[in-house]
Order: sequence, then C-alpha cells, then structure tokens
Amino acid sequence: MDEPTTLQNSNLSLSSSTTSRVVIGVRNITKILPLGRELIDILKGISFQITSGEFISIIGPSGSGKSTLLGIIAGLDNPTSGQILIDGIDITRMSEGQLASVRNKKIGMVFQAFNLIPTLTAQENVEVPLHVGKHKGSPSARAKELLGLVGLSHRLNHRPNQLSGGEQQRVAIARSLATDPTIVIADEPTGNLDAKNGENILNLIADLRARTGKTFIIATHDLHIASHADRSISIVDGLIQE
Amino acid sequence: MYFNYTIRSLWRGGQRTLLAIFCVAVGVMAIVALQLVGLMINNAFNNNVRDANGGDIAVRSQNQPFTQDDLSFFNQLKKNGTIHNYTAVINAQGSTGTNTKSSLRQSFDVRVIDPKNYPVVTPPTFTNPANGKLADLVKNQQIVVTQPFIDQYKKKIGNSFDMHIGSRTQGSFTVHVKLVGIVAESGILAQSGSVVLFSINDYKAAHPTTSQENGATQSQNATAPQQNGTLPSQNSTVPQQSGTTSQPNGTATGQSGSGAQQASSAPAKQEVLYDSINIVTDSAHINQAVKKIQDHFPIANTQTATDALKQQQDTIDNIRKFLEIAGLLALLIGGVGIVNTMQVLLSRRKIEIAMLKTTGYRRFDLYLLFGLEAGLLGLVGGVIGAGAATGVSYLVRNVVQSSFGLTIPFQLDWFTIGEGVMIGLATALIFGLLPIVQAANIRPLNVIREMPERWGAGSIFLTLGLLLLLTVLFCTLAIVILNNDIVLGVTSVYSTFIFLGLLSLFFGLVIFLMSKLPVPEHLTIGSIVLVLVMVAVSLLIMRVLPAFGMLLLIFPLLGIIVMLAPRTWKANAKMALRNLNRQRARTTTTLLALFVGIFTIGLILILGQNLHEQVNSAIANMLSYNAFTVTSNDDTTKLQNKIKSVPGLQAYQRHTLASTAPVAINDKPIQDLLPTGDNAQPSPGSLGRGGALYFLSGIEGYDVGKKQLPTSDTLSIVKGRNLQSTDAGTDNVLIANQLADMGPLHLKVGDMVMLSSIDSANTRLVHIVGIYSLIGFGSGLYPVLGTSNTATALAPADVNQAVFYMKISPDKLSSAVDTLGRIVPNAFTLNLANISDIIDQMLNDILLTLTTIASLSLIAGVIIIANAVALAMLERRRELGILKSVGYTSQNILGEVLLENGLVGGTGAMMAMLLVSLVIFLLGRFVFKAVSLAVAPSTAIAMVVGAILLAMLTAALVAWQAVRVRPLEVLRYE
Repeated sequence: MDEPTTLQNSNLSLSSSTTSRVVIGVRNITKILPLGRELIDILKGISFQITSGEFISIIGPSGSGKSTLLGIIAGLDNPTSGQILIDGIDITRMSEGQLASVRNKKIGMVFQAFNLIPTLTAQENVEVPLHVGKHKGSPSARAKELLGLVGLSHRLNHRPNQLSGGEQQRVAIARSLATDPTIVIADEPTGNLDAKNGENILNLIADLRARTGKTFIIATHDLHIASHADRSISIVDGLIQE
Repeated sequence: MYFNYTIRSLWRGGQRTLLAIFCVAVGVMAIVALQLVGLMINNAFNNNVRDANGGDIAVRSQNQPFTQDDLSFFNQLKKNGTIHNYTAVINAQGSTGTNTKSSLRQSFDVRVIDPKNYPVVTPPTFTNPANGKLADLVKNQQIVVTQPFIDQYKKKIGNSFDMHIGSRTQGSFTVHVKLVGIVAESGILAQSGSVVLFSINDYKAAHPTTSQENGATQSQNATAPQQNGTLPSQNSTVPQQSGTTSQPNGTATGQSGSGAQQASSAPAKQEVLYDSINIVTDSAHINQAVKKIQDHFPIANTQTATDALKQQQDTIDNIRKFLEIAGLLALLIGGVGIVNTMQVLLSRRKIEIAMLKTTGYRRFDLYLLFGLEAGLLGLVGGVIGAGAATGVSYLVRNVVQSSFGLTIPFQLDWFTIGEGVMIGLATALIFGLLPIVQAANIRPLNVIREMPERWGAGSIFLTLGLLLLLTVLFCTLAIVILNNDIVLGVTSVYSTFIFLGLLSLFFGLVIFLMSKLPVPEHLTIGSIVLVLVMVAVSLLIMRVLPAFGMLLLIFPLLGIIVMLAPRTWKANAKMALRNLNRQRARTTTTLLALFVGIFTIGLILILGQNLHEQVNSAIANMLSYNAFTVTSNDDTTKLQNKIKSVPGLQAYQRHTLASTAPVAINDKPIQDLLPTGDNAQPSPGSLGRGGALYFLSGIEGYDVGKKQLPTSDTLSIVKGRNLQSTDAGTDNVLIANQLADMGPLHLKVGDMVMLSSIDSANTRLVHIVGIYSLIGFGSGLYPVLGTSNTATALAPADVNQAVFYMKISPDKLSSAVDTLGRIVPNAFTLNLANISDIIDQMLNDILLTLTTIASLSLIAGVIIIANAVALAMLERRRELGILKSVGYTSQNILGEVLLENGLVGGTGAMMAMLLVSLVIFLLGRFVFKAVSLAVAPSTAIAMVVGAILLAMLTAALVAWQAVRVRPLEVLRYE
C-alpha cells in the first residue's frame, strides 16, 4: 500500500487562475455509437458550463455515458452533434493537429487504467507530453519536479511494471500536469485502486486543485468520491439528471 | 462445433489471420515457383537428349577435323552394321556480310549440313513454313534459321543478305543467301541460340578452296565409301618425321560457285573439313561403335546420348537443388512469420483459452482446436501460394531465359502445385506447434487473476523440446522437397538453423545494446567525447577500408543528429530505441532476414561491379591492344601493306597462327595419355580430355628474332624462362600453367611435345622452355606460345593465318574497324570495346538472375517487417491512444514507427555491408590474388540508405491507417 501523499514542494511553477471564467462550454452534445447492427444513443443532448478553478464530478452508473462525455470534452472523440468550447473555442470542428495541440496545452488526462507507456521510466512518462509542442524549460527538470510533488522522487527511473497501482496513478497525475494545462480530466482515477490508495489519490487531486486553482473534472460512479468535488453533474441514460 | 469455432476465430482474427495466411502463401509461392522453374529447365534440357546430342553418338574433333577420307571410315562402320547412319557437320562462325560496316556486323553460328541427311534424328520443327523440310529448303543459297535468329536480328522470310562464313581451320568467304524457313529451337537445335543452317553443297560451291570439287554432294547414304569430288587423299595418320615442314602445293584461287560474292585469297587445294559427326545406331552397338571410333580417331571426343544426359543431369540437378534450397529458405522465413502471428493470435485469446479450460477442455482438445485453426491457415495459404506460384514461375522462367539465353518451354506440373498446397498445410502445422502447445499449457487461474505465467524449468524444457521437434519436422519436410536427399536436407536445414541461431544471438545482443543507447536532452561533454572518439576511430579505419570506415562514421553522425534534433524527434528516437528491445525475438528475425538479403545482394552486386571494372581496366590498360584482325594467306600481306592507313593506329604487332593437334608427349602417343570414359570429364585437379586438348590446340608464333617476345604485362613466367631472341629458328615454346599444374598431362619444362597441323600434313616436335600464367584477362588467341618459325611450319597446307594486334586511339576505334573491314573484308576483326560490352551485358544478366533469387530473402525481410509492424500496431493500440491523449498527432506517431523500422533496416543493412566489405577485402587478398577488390563507399551507402527507405516505406504502408486510431476507443475498450 502506498504512503499518503503530501504536497511538500511549494515552489512548483503551476499557474493558478484567480478570476472565474467559463473554461468549458458543453452545448447540446449527442453521441450515437453502433452496437452490432443497432445504433445506440449514448449521449442525448447534454449542456453545461464549467468555470475556471472548479472541481466538478460527473457521476452516473456504468454505461450512463460519463466516460464518453469526458472523452469528447478532452478532444479524444467527436460528438455526433453539439459543440464543446474550451476557453471559448469550439474544438468539435478542429483538425487532428489542432485537437492534438489543445490536448497537449490545455488538457491533462488521468485514466482508470493508468495508461503509462511500459517501455519508459516514470520520469520519461511524465516527460512525454513535453516533447510535443513548444514548452519552456527542461523536460527532465519539470518531470522530476512533478514527480517530487506527487511523492515519487525516489521512483524516477522505475518502469511502470516496477511500480504499484497507486504509484502508477500518481505518475499519471504528474504527467497530466506536465504541460501546465488549464483543465485536468480524470476518468474513474481510483477505479483500479484499493480503498486506501484511492483515498490517497483523491486527496492528492484535492490538494493539487487547491494549490494550483486548475479546473478538475472527475468521472465516477462512487458518491463518496463525488463528494470531494465542488459540484456534481449527474448523468443517467445519456441525459443530465437535475 | 470445432470447425465452427475455428472458422469464427479465424474470421475474428481479421488482419492477423490475413498475415498468417500471407506468410504461408509467400513461402509456398517461392518453393512451388522455383520447383516449377527447375522442372521446366529439366524438361528443356533432358526431354530429348538423343536429339539434342545429334544422335546416339556425337563425335567432335576441333583439333583434327575430319577429312573426306575420314568419312570413309564411317561409311565402313555403316556397311558392316556397327552404325545405322551418320551425317557430317561443319560448325562455323557467321556474320552479316562484307557490305555491312565492320562495326555494325551481327554474328551468329552457321551449321553447314547435308540437308538430305540432316539430322539423323528427329527433324527440326518448322514454324514457317509449317510443314517445311530441310531437304526442300536448304539449297541454292537458301538458308533456314532458328527462331532466336529472327528475334535477335529482326529478319523475315524472303530477306536476302550477304553472309560471311569463317572457320578457324578453313579461312573465310562471303555468300549471298536468302532466308526461306524458320525452325524452333528444339530437338537437335535445343538451346542453340541464333543458328543458320546452310547447305554443304552451297558451302563447297562458294568456298574458294573447295570449288574445284564440282560442287559435289557428299552422300552419306551411299553404302560405298565413295565421295564425289574428294581431293587427293591426305595422310590421316601422322607422319613420323619430326621437324619437317611441308611446302604449299600450289596457290590457285577458286572464285567459282554461283553464290560466291567475295572470297579470301586462299589457294585451291584445301578440302572441306568437318568438325562433327552425328551417328545413329542401336543400343547394342553403341559401345562397340564408340570403341572403334576412339581407336581410329584418338583425339576426337565421343559423346553418347547417355553421356550427355549424365553430364547435363548433374548440372540440372544442382540448379534444381539450388532453387529448392532458396525456396526452403523462403518457406522457413514464412514459417517464422506463422510462429509470430499465431503467438499473437493465441496470446490475445488467453482469457478465452482459460475459460475453455475451466469448462473442462483438456490440452488435447485445445491442440485439436488450434491445430485445426493452423491447418486451415496453411491450407488457404497453400492454395493461394500455389496459385500465385504459377504466375511467378512464368516471371522467373522469363528472367532465367533472358539471362542465360536459354529456351525454356513454360509448363505447369499439377503434382508440384498440389504438393505446394500440402507443403503449406504441413508448414503451418509445424510452425504452429510451438504457439499452440504454449497456449494450451497456460494456467487458467493465472490468466483470470492476471498473474504472470512463471517460466519454470518444465516450461523451458518444453519450449526447447518443441523447438527441437520443429527442426526435426521441418528437416523431414525439407528432405521430401529435396527429393528424399537426406544428407542434403539434414545438412542444409541444420546448418541454416545453426548459422541463423548464432546470428540471432549476435543480433539480439546488438538490439539490446541499441535499446540502451542514451538520447541526451542537451549536448553534454560525455556525449561529445563519445562522438569524437567514434569519428576518430571511423576515420582511421577509413584509411584502410574506406567503405567500412564510412559506414562506421554513420553512427557518430547519427549521435550528433540526435543531440541537435528537436524535442519531438528526441522523444521519438528514445521510444524507437526502447521499442526495439520490446519484442526482441521479432526484431531479431526482421534484422536477420534483412541482413541475409542485403548481404547476398550486396556481395553479388559488388563482386559484379568489381568484375566489370577489372574487365574494363584489363582491356583499357593491361592489354597493349584494343582490336585485332585474323587474316589468311594474301589478306595478311594486303593488311600488312595498308595497315598504316588504319585511322588512329598507334602500334601493332603481327603474330603467326596455327591450329594444332597433339600427337605425342615425350614419345608417348597422346591417346595413351588422355583419359577416357568417366575420367574424361574435367574435375578438381584435372582439365579432363577436352581441356588438355584445348591447351595444345594452337600455337601463336612470335618473331623472336626481331625481339618480338611475349610481354610481362599480360603473362608471367612461373617456371623455366621466357622466349628470347636466340630462340629464333627453334621450336622452343611456352605452355599455359594449367597443363603443368593440373592433370591429366602434368607437363613440365623440358618436355617434348609432337604437334601436328590440323590437316595432319605437318608435324613439329616442340620443346617446352617455360610455363606461363596469365595476368588478369590479358592473353593471345592460341594457348601455345612459340616462334613464328614453328607456327608457320604447323600451318595446314596452303592456309597461313596471322593475327594483327592493334592499339588504336579509342575515339577512332569504330572508324578503324570499318577501314579494316574494307581492306580485308573476309578477315575476322574484333573490337575489344565490343567484347567489353558483351561481357558487361553477360555479367549484368547473370547478376540480374542471382540478384532476383537473392531478393527472395529481402522480400521475406520486407514481409517480416510488414508483419512485425502490423502486429506491433495491434499490440500498441493502447499506447497510441495514450500518446494521442497527451497531444501527439498521427504524424508524430508515424514518425516514431518509421524511425524504429528505419533503425532496424539501417542496422541490418549496415552490418550486412560491413560483412560484405570484409568478405570482399578477404576475397581480393586471398582468393583473387592478382586482383584488388574493393567496395565503393557510394555503393555501400546506397545499399544502407536503400534498406532504410525500404524498411520505412514498408512500415509506412502498414502503419498509415493503424496510427489513425481513435484514442478513446482503445483507451476505454481495449
């Protein structure tokens, strides 16, 4: 089991937003996916806004469409209809290159399955986003700084298969912060962890949010986890439930 | 249920199933196509050996051609029933006539025949006119030609042209002919190339020295030994007086005969000499006939149809075995592809296998299930491969045909094609065995709880045992393919496995080290020092082995590029290096296939390139002449008088020539010294009967009294001494070192050889004073080097030949050759620049064929790259999704894939070319001692760059679509 993480490094260069502005605008998003020979409405017209610095949880049972929605917000997938505005810019009509740039500069992603690259060390995994696009400073210094922030200074040169689940997720969180994005999206970040490690990760996210003022969105089906957030958006059967 | 499950599993495998089928299909295609070509070659040569041999017995005597008197011996054999029939043939050189500029003349073979009695076997097949007959068509200066003649010289039925006929023994002349028929290159004309069939009567009528024979027809049908118009008998037995020289018997010139346009100024009393006799008899009399012929003509070569078949069969068997082994290599590489693909196919179904086991399936049931799957893959791949092989065999057969100038009828052998399907099935089962047993052995609980499979001693022994079983089974398959040749099968399979195994170990280490290469974020002192040291080492090596050093220099240069590259490139380089070690076995296999392909092609190309250069430089520098003309009788004087008018002539030398036949060595008759029967064939250490006779078949006379001596730039004296001016008037000679170093004669300095003129009229006892070895390609026309005195004495009655070696300014060579054609239209002139072109063309053709076959392993390498990239893309879909989620584009990812495969291609090619550089260096130093061989750095770099581009292009084609994966899809659902 991993040790609880505390934020010890106060000099971290993460920008914090002080004014409230809309950073994410979701307008009437629908998503239809084929399942066998049938077409299934995953999302049936979802609209909401998130302002900067908010910690939002998106809750809903399995299959409700929350992960699909997060993927669309992160620019990993396209909606069937509707608009996603990131900092006021519609990303649904962007080319692959433009979308990649948005993902690199504005969005950090944390997945349930950690999704680290097995051939790279912890430090190299955190450096990965810094090698595309233009970023100031040394990637290795930045990666070390972030891994220190999540309490993994002693695991810099370990590969994913040499790390525990909690440690892998912390590397993933460090990676999501590497390019100093405006928004961090976490899809069931504790889903593959035991209760204690899950709690540690949630605390880490809460601390990071408090220190950086970044916008955090967490998808979960666990109400307890959702309770860590400022606000919850509940999705059931592809629709927001008031 | 099993069948349905298998079909659905294969269907679900999609791209992976296709890859497995593709691997089998390529292996089967290669082996079936090469087997079919081997069969076609076999049939082309052996279908009717008796016809190709000209009859049951073919007797050839270049050294001592057959006179009209000699033919009476064959008439006698016919009369007493030893043989049934015979026909005499003259093989001469032909070219388009004297009206054509010398530099534009086209040359071909002329077969002078008695059309009423030729051939004594199956008549040739006419393609035009359909039911033509030689007896009806080949007469009155009408000729029949083979199809290659038509293809090569674009002539048509009805065309008339001047044809120049020349032979080594009988001078030359020109005759106006009309083309009236075309025959297929089969039967007696099989593999004969461009041949003109010309009537003996027309030959006699047109020949300036035989026209007094009333143009009589020689009739071999006659039962009595009577030939019309034969000249007074000349002694067919060798006179015993040594050192005598017969005097010319007259100089009358005959210019009669309706077809004769121009004639050489040869005197009139020479008779027609035949160089070949084709005989038919029954099997009971063959040995008896051969013995009688050999007793009567001791230095003639007799070849029965059985001898011809045996001689050809050995060569053809070797060609077929070579093709089959090349096919086996492709099958082996295809098999490795199956192992790869099936391992991935089954490892992705681990949970399914675990579930089957939990529901009670035994290992045996799983073996059956997956065996059926492998069998179906093999069957489908086998059918596709065998089908494709029919088309590929057509292409390979065309390449072989055009490269070696052979006629190989296209034909399909349904048994071989069917066997191909079975080979596909067997290959898939053999190579599927390892992944199937491994998959069936998984522990369900480990899979369901996602625990790693432990590699205990049992698993290791099982894998080793399976690998051993795989080699045994593949060896058995190889033995079946190689026509049950157990020794060849075991040797070729296990030596290949051991060789490839050792190479794999080495490449595995190389890949491991490469994957650990640092990709520094910034320029560091350590990395700069490392690069500088590598540059210094490369430059030092470049001084000794330029190509080797230049290839090594690529490594530090790559290091510099990586250090200065943008961040994205560095990240790509780092991931590419790491990925190399990820599937090390797969990367090693790819590297191995590329290495073998590029090494083979590189070695062939560079050896070819070096040979090209050596030939050209020998002709340009080592030879003191670039054209020569062979003249007879008055032509010699004519050319001597006008030689100063040849444009661009810088220097010339005239030697006397005489064709000879050995009679005795140190008083022992030659027939007692020459091997017969099976020993007559050349073998390591022996020239054989024909080779020994060749090296005594002619003498080139130097005017040593005028200090005209064999030059040290074209030959070196290895024993004894060179000719010298004091040898003038003597019969001292130099012989080639082959006669001394190799059997059957093992001549030495001091030996005395009795040589006879080809008409047996004159003999000379020559004294060996030295043994020479040729340097490079420089040589004279005839192998024995002596004084002009000896050569003149050994010239046949009334035929005095000379050769003029000329050094002509290269820019005027063509006009000089035309001038020579005008001065002596009937003389044979050769522009060595043409020889250089011909040799270049021949080398190119041979290189093309060898490269085509060697390309098989390169193609296999490309297929393995395609397979490896496709599998890697499937395995790394999640990773692609991760990269995309953090901002990578498809292009960034494709860049990494290309870099990874470019590294594999480049490393394989670089190591192959390093080995080629080393092998070429060693060959030059120790094998071709007189020749310096080198790898041109530009060629080595071109090969490496070519391999990199090939690997990257293949990877790009396969990965293009795969990198466009939708990240959310793989991150969520896989």
